[in-house]
Amino acid sequence: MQDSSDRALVVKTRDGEVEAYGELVRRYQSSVFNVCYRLLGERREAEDLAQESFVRGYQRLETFDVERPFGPWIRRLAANLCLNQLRRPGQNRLPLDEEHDELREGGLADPETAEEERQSSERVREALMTLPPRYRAVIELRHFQDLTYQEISSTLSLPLSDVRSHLFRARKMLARRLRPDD
Amino acid sequence: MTEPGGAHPEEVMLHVFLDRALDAEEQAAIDVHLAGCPLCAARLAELQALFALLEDLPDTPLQRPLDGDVLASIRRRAAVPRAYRVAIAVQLALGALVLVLARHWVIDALTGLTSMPLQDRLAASVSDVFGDLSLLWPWVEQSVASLPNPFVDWVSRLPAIPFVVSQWGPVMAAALALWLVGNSLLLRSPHVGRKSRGSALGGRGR
Repeated sequence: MQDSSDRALVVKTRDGEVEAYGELVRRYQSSVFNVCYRLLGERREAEDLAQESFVRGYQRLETFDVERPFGPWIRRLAANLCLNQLRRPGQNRLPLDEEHDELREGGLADPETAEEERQSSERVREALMTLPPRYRAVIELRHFQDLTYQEISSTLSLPLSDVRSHLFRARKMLARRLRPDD
Repeated sequence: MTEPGGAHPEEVMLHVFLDRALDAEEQAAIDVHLAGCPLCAARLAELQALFALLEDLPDTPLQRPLDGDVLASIRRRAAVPRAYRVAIAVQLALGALVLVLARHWVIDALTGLTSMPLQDRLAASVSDVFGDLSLLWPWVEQSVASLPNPFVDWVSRLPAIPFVVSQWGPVMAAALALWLVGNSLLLRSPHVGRKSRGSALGGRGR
């Protein structure tokens, strides 16, 4: 199972081997969770939405083109799910869990540098969470999922001109919030 | 737009430039401008630093594996709709039967749209449908006659439904409305609703 390609796992899943889908989940759970976490800013909710993304992915697996990579497809699905969640009334909140950047600890030799990096990451995450959801979405798709303008446009059902202007404004807002003197 | 020494490119164009979303000619023009314009080069460097900050953002570790809950949820959701599928199959079969019985009405409706007022056409069609149903009656009678006596006695004591054929239209319409309402309730699966997501995904409260 471990050596199977994503394509083989998708085909097996379609043939009724649900366990094969479990392997796909194990491969992509971290990246899908991170999509949700960057967009939602709340760990528990991000885990729920990541899980739901995989369930929806399973339900829509017949529509997936096996010639394309599975990772970007499931991450895009997760991003859309999170956006729908953010569009719900009262969802434009600014949560940010405290515990998110313990990841670097132990990974770097110099604790001082590690702490600086942790603080820097935290500032970026906080700045991202202050963006309106539609701006957060274009940043996610462009910078973290490396989609082109055209792909962002079709994923979010936005005109190309809006993709460009949303990205521009989102980055301006981010830059303002990340200025050292702020 | 971006000739060396000429007008500086608009700020938004620098973003598009870094996103590699310009056509080759525009991209080259900005390249040339940047080579000769320290101001724009500095603006670009600032923007590149922001890009780097975003792209270097480390992943947050997942604290629990999701695969177990995902598979459990898939299996749970797959199990419940089987009952729905049976219900839908039964409804489809009944719907097909109604269509067969109502074939005259359908044909009349399609071919004689202008030949008869709607009300008359409906009354005639309903009458036809019940005419067809009446063909089944001998079989029903025979089946009932073969049932044990106490049950036949009990059935024979049931009051007759006080409708004449021409009044069955509203009854059928009401049945159809009930059918549609029933279907909408049936198909609104509690496993899809957002409110139940917490429990459907492993019952973790928030």
